[in-house]
Amino acid sequence: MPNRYIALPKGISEKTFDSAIADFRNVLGDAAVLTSAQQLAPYIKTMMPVPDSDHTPSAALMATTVEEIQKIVGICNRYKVPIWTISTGKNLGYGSAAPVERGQVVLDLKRMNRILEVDKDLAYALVEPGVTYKQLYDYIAEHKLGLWLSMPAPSAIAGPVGNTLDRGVGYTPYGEHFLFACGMEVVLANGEVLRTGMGSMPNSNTWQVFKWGYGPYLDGIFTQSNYGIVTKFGFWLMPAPPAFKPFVIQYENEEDIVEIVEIIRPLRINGVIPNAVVIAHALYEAPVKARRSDYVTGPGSIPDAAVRKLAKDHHLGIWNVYAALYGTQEQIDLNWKIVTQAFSKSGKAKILTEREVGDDPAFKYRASLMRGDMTLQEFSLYNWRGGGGSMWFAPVSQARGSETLKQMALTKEILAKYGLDYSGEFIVGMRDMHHIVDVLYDKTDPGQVKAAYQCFDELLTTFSAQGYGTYRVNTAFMDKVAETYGPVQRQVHKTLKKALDPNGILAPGKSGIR
Amino acid sequence: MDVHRRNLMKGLVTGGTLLALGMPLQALANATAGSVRKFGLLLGNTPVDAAFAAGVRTAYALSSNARLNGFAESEAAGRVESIGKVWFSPPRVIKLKGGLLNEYEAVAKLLEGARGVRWIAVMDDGSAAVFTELMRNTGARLILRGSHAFSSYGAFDRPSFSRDVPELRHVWTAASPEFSAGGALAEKLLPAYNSFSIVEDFLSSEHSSAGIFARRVNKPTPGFLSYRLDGSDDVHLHCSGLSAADGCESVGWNKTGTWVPLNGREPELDEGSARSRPAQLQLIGWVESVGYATMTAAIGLRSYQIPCSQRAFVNQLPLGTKRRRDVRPERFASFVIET
Repeated sequence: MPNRYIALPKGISEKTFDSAIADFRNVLGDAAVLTSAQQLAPYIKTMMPVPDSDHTPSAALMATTVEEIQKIVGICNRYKVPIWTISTGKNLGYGSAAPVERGQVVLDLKRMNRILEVDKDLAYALVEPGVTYKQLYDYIAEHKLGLWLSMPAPSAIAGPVGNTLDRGVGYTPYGEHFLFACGMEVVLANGEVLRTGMGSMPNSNTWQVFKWGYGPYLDGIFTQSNYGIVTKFGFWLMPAPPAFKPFVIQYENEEDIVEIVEIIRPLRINGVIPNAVVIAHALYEAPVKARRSDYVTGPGSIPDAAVRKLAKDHHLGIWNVYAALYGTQEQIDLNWKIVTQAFSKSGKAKILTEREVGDDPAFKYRASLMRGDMTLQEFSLYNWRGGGGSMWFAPVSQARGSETLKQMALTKEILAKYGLDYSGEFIVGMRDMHHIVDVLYDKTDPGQVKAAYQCFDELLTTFSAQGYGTYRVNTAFMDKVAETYGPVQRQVHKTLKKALDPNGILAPGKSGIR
Repeated sequence: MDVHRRNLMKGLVTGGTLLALGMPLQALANATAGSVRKFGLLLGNTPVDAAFAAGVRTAYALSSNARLNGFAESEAAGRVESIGKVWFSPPRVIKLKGGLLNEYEAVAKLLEGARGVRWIAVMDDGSAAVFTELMRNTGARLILRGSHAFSSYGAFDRPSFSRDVPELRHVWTAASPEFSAGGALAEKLLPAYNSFSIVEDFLSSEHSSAGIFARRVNKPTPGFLSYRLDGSDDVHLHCSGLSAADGCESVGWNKTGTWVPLNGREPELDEGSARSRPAQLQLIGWVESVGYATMTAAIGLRSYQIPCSQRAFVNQLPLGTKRRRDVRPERFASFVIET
């Protein structure tokens, strides 16, 4: 272990790193270059079943301007020092703020937190990467702009730039976040500044309203990638609807997911239900209401009988479909009729609204997310098993009942083999579903750590063998997932990397790209 | 959020008792409190809040006594300047009535507003994930982070997992050995618990003042045999009731190599000194012991003076060797941070 630093970048001597740090300090000032263990410790905690020492940064840099970032990449090129950029760094369950490889320097953009523009009429925002959803939420409320945000579960503490760049999702009609992104400013590895789409044209006022610009569309290559550092980001906001009606539909059996999905698909594609519907398993919702140890104390995964008892005790379905209607009261009344008719046919569904379950803690936090309000209740998931271990397993499924049942059963079977519970949900897109499973385990138990690692590895292997791709993954498994998409795509990614970042200074290893 | 100011100066003990606990007065007087003059205790509305706080109070009382007695003794001997004169007031106690997931904004403001405060905190795992993020947002320094678990089914009959995982487990990440909590906790747990492990990862292996008090402070931990990994001087293992190889496996270390005595000579088991502690100072529960150990680390009472990147304590006695305590399953996280 080096004396002055808690880690060093791969292949960089302490002497070379001393020089790089001195140069960083010249640009940013001493206080914005962190190297002590106490300062860096908050960047290290991961929830993955690998030693945190695998993801220990050598330093962290706090940049506040584009010009500083340009100088930083210049220094990185000079010394071949790799940087790992974070906006707010809240990618919990996917690696948090820690770099993909030990020794990378974290470039923390949290201080670049200016809200540059929010246009009420055209309903868009242009922000810097350190802006949080909470900050924007407060700004919109303060200025009475009548706009709604779509945010992921870590809502208040996360930010739109990082979440969208990692292709995260929310729960409003604007839930597929990248779909609503419009225009980026990117510092490239050579220090040049690119504005995508209409932003490249001097004096353009359409940067945040027209995505495509001219020629190949570039925004996509700066998501889940390491080709540049996004320093400004535009995205569309949802005008607040005159009325909003959240509801939950409960089903009592796991097999019922076939019916649920078959009913929802046409309602989603036709726009009757406009938002990203969530079909949550009882174990995904349970932690806001119950303790696992009240139902099972022995080894292994929780038995089905215990799950049924838990669901009954806490008024949960085995599946809980959270959705909402948005629009005028007349629109909502009409669509509500269509929804209730569709779900009432089989007699299996229990349809509940705010009137019946408005005070239910699970319903409350789901309703908050569907209207773009702040809540952190989903973090209760981490109390289910306890011990701080969590990895999101996120395969994509067709929005087809038989497929979802197959994925659920397969996931549950593999988890059970390792003694882990199925805490899963499906987030319904237009034609796809994000199957999101929180692989929860106790990091204090080395047996569970080992089991969780093996389990996750098997989930990825088995699913990819059946043609199910993972859309997002934690930093410990990025290479493995990149491998599942085949050699041609991987080579194209590498070719782009080589062209845009020949010294490999920007987050080498992100999404398996070096 | 409730703010309480309490007098934590309870149960004052004598300097002699402190020495019996292995806490030399001078080491205490020079303890790491350093420039920090304010302490805070953040209780996250968990079932363990009260027990954890009790342990914090005990450690605070011990340190206050040490400073009091140490100062008086040194003054009498004309050595006032050699004793640390830094005093700190009792921790300001803040209780999050609704839990951190509901009161995250208040906690963020607290961390932003209170500079120069060393906070000791206890909370559930969900809150801990958010707390770490709030801490980083506000530029707070993380000194110690712990994850603590007791699983009643613990060690045995686990079809998929390792067989010999202790039922009571603690994993700490500390900025450096200066903020070690493991030794203090191991001493408290050994007389009462059959099966436990304590793992400490130190981000920096160096103690800022390593060597100054090494001989006085870092006596072998009573009841444990101490080893280092041959060829890797900064990985240490302290075992009771099992071999070094088994101890290594039970904490999940994938270390290849031979474990050799830490001090270059064959380790001797010193069970006697563990039992000879004054009965009135034995803490009654493991959660309270964690609170105690966390506060000792926050103050720097039990710094580990030897360069170390990882160390672990493992105690694993066969069932039936000692009476099993009635312990309910519990998991929580602890922190020491500085704003």
